[in-house]
Amino acid sequence: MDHVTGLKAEAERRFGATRAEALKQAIEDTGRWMAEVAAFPVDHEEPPAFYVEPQS
Amino acid sequence: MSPHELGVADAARAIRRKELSPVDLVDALLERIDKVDGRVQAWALVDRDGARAAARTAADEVARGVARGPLHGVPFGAKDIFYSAGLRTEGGSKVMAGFVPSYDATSVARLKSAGAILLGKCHTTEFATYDPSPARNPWNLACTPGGSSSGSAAAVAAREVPIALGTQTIGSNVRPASYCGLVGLKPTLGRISTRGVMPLSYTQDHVGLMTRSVEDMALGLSVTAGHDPGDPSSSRSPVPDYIAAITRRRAPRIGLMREFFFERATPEVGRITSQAVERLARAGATVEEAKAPASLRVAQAAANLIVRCDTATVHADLFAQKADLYRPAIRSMIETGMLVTGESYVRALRIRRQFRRELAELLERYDVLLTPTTPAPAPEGMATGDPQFQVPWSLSGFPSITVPCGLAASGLPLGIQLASGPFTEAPLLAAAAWCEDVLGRGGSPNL
Repeated sequence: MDHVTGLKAEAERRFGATRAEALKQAIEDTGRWMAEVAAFPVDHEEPPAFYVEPQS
Repeated sequence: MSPHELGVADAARAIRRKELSPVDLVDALLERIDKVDGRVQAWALVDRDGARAAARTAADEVARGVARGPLHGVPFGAKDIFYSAGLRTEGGSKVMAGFVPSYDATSVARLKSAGAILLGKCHTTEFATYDPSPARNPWNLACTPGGSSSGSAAAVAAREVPIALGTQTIGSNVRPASYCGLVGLKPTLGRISTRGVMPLSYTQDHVGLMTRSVEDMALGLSVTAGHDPGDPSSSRSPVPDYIAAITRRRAPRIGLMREFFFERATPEVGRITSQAVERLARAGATVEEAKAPASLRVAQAAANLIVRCDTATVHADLFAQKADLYRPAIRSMIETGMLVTGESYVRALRIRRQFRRELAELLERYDVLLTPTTPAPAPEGMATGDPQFQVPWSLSGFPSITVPCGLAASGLPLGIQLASGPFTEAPLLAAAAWCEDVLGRGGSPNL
C-alpha cells in the first residue's frame, strides 16, 4: 500500500470520511514527504537526533 | 531624527547620556503606533500603562545613575506566543482566548533584566503556524509581512519598536524579517531559552530576534543568549561577547549555495542576489560555489514530517477538547501529524542528523554559506509566503541571519541569508556586519 492510500484509510478510520476528504491535499503532501524520506539512502549507522540534544 | 526612528544601540546610548528620556521614547513609539498601526496591525496588545510605568522607573534610575543593563529604557515587542506575566497571551488562537500567564518567558525576563521595556505583544499566525494574523507589510499594505512572526516584523519595520522577539520552527523569523527589510537572526538551537514560549515542535523551535541593524542584533542576542535550567534543550555553551565580535569584522570566506536555492528563486531574486554577491566580492570577500549535500534535497520532507508529528503531540490534549476552535491550517497539521507512522518520524530524525553532519563538513571550508533569503519578495494577500529557504537551518539547528540586499522592482525588500556552524553566532554576526557595511542598511517604508 502506498503512503497516501494508507494515510487516507487511517484518516477515515480516525476522523470519518468527511474529515478525511477535507484533509485530501494535506494527506497527499504528507504521503509525498513520507515517500521521499523512505527513499532517501540514510546512512545505516546514523542514529536519530532526539529531543534535548543541544550540540554543545 | 524623531525618537521612534532610533535603533536599539542609538536609543540606549542616548538614554545613557541623558540626551533622551525613556518616557519620551515610549511616548514617541506609542504616538507612532497610534499614527500607523491602524493600517499595519502589528500589535495584538499594546501595554500602554505598563510601558509608561516601566519608562518612568527607568528614567528615575537614570537620574540616580543606575543602569540595569545595556538596553536600559529601550522598548521591545514580543510575539504573542511568549509568556508575559499579567499580560494576555493568546498565540493568535481562540483556543487560548483570555489566557494570562503568571510568569515571563525567559527571553522576555532577560530583556527586562537588561533594562528593556515590554511595549506589547505582536500578532502571530495561529500557534506560529500558517493561519494568518491581521498584520500587514509596512512596505506594501496589500502584502503579507510573512509569518509566523508577522507582527514582530511589521512593528520593527514600521518604526513602532526597535527590536522584537520572534520564533522560527520552519521559517518564521528570518523570512518575515527579510520580507520587511530587517535584520533577522535565528540562533543555534539551544542558544536562547524557549521556556515560556508556546511550543510547536520539541526539536525545531528556536527563539529569534528582529532589528534594523546588525549592531542592534548583537546587543539583543548578548542579553537573551545563555543557559536556562528551566529549558532542557538549552545549551551550556559559553556566550561570547557579540558586541566585541562585530568590531572585528573582516571580509568573510563565503560559500555561495546556488544549487537548490537559485533554481527555486525567481529570476529577479537570483539577479539581485548575484549583484549583491559581486559587490561583496569586489569589497574583498572570497566567494566560492559550495556544493550542497545530497541530504539537502530531502530536508524539506524531513522537517515537515518532524514538525507535524511534534505539533500533533504538543496539541494532543487541547485538540481533544477544542478541535473546532482550531483554524484550518493548524487543524490539518495536527490531524495529519497524528497519522504519520513512527517509522517515518524516526527516519526523518536520522536524516536530520546526517544532514547536520554533512552541513558541518561543508562549513569547515567557509565562514558562512550564502543564499537568497526568500525565493521571491513578500506575496500579496494573506498567505504568509514560502519558508523553504529557512528549512535547512531550522532542521539542522544551525544559526542563520538575513540582512537586506536591495529592493525588487515592486519596491519590496529582499535579503541575503548567511548561515554558519553551531554556536558560531559571533563570527556570523561579524560577517553579517561586514556585509551590511558593503550593501548598506535596509531603508524605511513610506507609511
